[in-house]
Amino acid sequence: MTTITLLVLILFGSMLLAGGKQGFVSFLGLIFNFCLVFISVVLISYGFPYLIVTLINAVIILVISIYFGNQQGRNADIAFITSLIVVGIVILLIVPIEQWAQVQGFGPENTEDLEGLSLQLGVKFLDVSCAMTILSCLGAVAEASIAIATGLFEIEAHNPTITRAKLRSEGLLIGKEIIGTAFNTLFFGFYGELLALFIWFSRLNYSFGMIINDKIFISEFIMTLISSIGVILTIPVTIGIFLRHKKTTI
Amino acid sequence: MGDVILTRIRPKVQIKWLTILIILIVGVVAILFTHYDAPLYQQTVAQVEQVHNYGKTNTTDEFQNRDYQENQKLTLKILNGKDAGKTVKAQNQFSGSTATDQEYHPGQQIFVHLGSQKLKASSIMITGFKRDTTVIFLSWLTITFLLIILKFRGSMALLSLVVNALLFMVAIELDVHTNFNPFILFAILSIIFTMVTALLIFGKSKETVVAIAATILGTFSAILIAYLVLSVTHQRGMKFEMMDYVTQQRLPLFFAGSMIGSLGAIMDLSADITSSLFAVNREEPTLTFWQLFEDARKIGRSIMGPLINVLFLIFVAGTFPMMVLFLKNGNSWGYSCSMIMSLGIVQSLISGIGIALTVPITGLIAGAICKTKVIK
Repeated sequence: MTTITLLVLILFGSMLLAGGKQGFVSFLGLIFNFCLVFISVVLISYGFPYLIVTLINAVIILVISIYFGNQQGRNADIAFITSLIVVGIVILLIVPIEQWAQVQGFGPENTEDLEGLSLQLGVKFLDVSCAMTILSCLGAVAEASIAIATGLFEIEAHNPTITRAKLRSEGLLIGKEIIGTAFNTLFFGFYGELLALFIWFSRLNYSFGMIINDKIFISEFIMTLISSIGVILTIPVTIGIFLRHKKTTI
Repeated sequence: MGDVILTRIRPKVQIKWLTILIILIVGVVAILFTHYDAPLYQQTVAQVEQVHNYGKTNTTDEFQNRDYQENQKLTLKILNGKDAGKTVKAQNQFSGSTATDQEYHPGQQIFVHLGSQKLKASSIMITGFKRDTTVIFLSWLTITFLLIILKFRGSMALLSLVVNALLFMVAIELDVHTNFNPFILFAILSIIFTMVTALLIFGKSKETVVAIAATILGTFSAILIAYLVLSVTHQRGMKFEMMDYVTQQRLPLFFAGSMIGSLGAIMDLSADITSSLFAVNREEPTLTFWQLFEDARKIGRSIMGPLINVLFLIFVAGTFPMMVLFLKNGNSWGYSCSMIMSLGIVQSLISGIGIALTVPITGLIAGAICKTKVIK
């Protein structure tokens, strides 16, 4: 048995232990998401237009992340609409930023890995970078929008006569609670991913100026910041959609 | 009544505009600063003044990938050092895919290495692209959004980020300059990370203590399981030789990375469950330990999936450039996936196991603490 097979089985077992049937559905969602991410990279490498591939797969990934293993209903709908809007805004930010930062492809630190490989592939690595950044922020945006939408519904259920202004301030309060933990999820993920690179920087005595212009470091840092911006924008958008939705249902 | 509301709203709006104005000015100053900060660099910085593209040739590699290559003659103005102000010529070559190279445009700033040969084009080497303006802009944008939307309520999140970054740098320096076992070093760092972050974000309370304990237990059980699995399966299918940027023993580094990577998500989950359980217990003190534990599972299972997804998408999407490179170099889907994605997948699996296990762990600890309090 390979390491991955055994770990997948253990993950399956612990998700069942933690969440029963819902854990099972969440596990299925993860498998589907993996397939979608894998299909995205294969299609992009075949030369399909990255934006179309990424947009279609992003929408499917959001559907799976939000509706699988989460109680379905109005809060899931609001989370889904919010995620679509936020991801749309974030994409408008990602494309020019990636163009400006020029962090596509590989950095000088990758030289050893690239030996003997052809680099003139006819695939624009700038497109690959954009696709990577778009897909990597989906999870964070979906998670934040579910948390806020669910929180707002709980408050409304608890106190059905609550005013709109009060709902708005309660929503911001929930936003404040989730932003701290969401930032930690993202930034610890960033540290964990780049631990080896940071040690490399220190061992080879990179100056601060070299680090803040380093292609790989900046590429990952941009991904983390974009996800953070996605999470922040999720707060007002969820509250806005929630209040709008409330108005139309009354 | 309308008047009362109007007079109450007006000053609020003005303060908001003032804050936004200040944030805007700070941003513009910071961005302008990075545009003119060349004198602060030790490396030579130059600005691209003129570009002349020539000699575009189509290329086809052994895998029938069609691309092109083009040359550029650049006119550069040196911005710092003893040659500041001088104009020099340099050569650049880029491909259509720009995997390791890039096309330059007038106005961009780059790092160059001036050879010994008196600023001749042949001795000038472009060593990098200046990206600090972009980074400062995006960081500024993030902080601005945070402050505009959450006002100063978001400042604790920022403070914890800064404190953690400093702690992380200290740990890296200790790892590089001492012979301390790297895994133990980063394990200690993880414990400190957890305590500092939890105290800063959630404040000092019984809930925080429970969340810290659950986070540490959840993370360590995931790492322990991963360690056992790797030993039992003799790391079959693991491509540790494909780990990037490695300058020391691979296995401890991999475990340390996975541990730190999953810490934030696990803390997120344990804090959510703990605060909800304590709130439920306050409202209905008659609930038994097992009812509380069931509640923990109920909360945990709806957050668990999306949280595992967050890290999974980050870890797996990060392998995209290498995947494209491998796929286009005549490798099969399966081979590329196992070579490039396996480490990212294992890292997501470890964090997933940690997140899932944290649900019952937090339920047990929080339930026990709630109930012992009642017995007293």
